Amino acid sequence: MRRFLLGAMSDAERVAVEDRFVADDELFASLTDTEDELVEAYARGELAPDEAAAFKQGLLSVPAIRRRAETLRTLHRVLERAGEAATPEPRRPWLIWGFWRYAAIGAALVLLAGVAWWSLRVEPGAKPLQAGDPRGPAAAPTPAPTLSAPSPTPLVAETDPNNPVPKRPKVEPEPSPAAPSTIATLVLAGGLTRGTGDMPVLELAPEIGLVRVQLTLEASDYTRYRVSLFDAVGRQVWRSGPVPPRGLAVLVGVPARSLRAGDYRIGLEGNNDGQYLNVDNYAFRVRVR
Amino acid sequence: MTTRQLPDQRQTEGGFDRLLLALDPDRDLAAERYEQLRTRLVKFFEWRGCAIPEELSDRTFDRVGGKLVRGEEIKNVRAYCVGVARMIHLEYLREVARERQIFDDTGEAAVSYDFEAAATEASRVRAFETCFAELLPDQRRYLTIYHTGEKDERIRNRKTLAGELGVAAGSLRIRMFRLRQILEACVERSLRE
Repeated sequence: MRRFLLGAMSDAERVAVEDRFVADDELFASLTDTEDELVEAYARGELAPDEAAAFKQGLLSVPAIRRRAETLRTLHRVLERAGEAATPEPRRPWLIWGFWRYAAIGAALVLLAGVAWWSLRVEPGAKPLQAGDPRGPAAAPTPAPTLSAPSPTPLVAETDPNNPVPKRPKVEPEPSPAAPSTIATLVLAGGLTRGTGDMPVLELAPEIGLVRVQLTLEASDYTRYRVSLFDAVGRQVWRSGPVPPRGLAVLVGVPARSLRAGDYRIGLEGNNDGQYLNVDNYAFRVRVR
Repeated sequence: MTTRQLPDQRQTEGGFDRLLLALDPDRDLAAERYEQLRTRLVKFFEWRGCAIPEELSDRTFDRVGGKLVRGEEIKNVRAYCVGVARMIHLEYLREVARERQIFDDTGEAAVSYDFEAAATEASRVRAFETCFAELLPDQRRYLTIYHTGEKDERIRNRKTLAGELGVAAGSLRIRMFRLRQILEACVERSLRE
C-alpha cells in the first residue's frame, strides 16, 4: 500500500491497483488507512528520508492532505507543550493525579523533613542553638533543590514555626515563545480607495524584515490565488507563488526590502482551471521610519 | 479550496441522468453509487498528487456524461470512468507544466511563500492551543490518547481507546478526524479575527 501511495510502483502495477480499488471496498479502506498512517508519520517526522521526499512530491501537493498534515503537526506540538501523556485506562478518581505525582510529593516531604533535621541537629559538644544564634535559621538556609516532578504544581510545606522551611519557588509554566519581532501585519479590504485620507498606511521600521499581508475576500471562488505588488508608477516589484485561500482571506509574506516610502497597489488574481483572472485590487501607503 | 458545483450545473441534464441510469436503474441506488464513485475518483486524483482532485472528478463525470448523451455504449461505467480519469490527469499535468513555465522567472516568489508559512506558524500554534483548551475534557482526552506516543505505543493506545469507546478502529479514526476538523475550523476562525 505504501509503495502505491508514495509513487514507488511501476505504471503497470499502479494501473492495476487503481482499477481494483474503484470497485473493491476492502482495498479502498486499506489504502485510506495507509494514507492516514503516512500523513501522521510525515507530520511527526517519522518517515525515512526517501519516503518523506516521495510524500512531499506526491501526496503533499494535495491541499486537503497538506492541511491534515499541518493540523497533525500543530496538534502534536500543542500536546508536547501541554505535557499531557495520558494512557487509556478506566478512570479512577484516586489515580487521576497518577503514581508519579504522589511519588514526587512524597519525596518532597522526605527531603523537607531531612532539611529540618539537618537544621536542628546538634554537633557533639556544641550547645543547642539559642535565639539570635548566627548559626540558626536567621543565617539564610539553603533552599531545597527543585525536584524534577512531572507536574508544575507548586509545593509548599512548613514544619516548625521557629525554624520555617523556605517556600519552594513557584514554578511558572514556560511562556509561549513570542512571535518574531521583525514582522509587521497589514490587513487590506478590497476596492482601491479614492481619497488619500483613508488609504491604509504601513509604518515601516528598520527592524521589520517581513510584512504579513492579509487580503480580505468577498467570496472564496478560487482554489488558488496570486498576489502581485506594484509601485506608484505601475512597476511590479514583487509577486507571490500560488497561494490557497484561508477562509475569506489570502495571506502572503512580503519581504520588507521590496518596499520603499510611497503608494503601492496589490493585484489579486484567482485561478481554478489553469488561467489567472483578476479578482480585486488593494491600495496602501508605506511610511519609512 | 474548490467550490464544488452540483452536477446539474456542470453537465447537461441529459448527461447526468444518463450517467445515473448507467450506474443503476434504481434512481436512489444510482445516486448512492454516484457518490461512492465520486469519492473513489477524488482519491484517484489525490493519490496521483493532483492539487484539484474534486474539480478533476467533476470533469471526468462531465466527459463520461457527454459520451453517454452522444450514444456511446458503456458496459462498465466504473472502469470507463477510471480510463477517462487517466486522460483528464494527463491533461491536468500539461496545464501544470504550462503554469510552471510562467513562474520560472519568479524564484523570489517561491522564497516569499516560505516566508509566509513561517510567519503564520507561531500564530497558528497559539490559536491551536486556545481552541484545544476550548474542547470538552473528554474530547481533549481522546485526542491526546490517540496522538501520543511512539509508533507501537500509539497503536496500543488506539486499540485500547477503541475498546473503551466500544467502536471499531475505523470508526475511531473517523471520530478523531472529525474532532480535528472541529479544531481546524476554530483555528481558521481565530486566525481571521
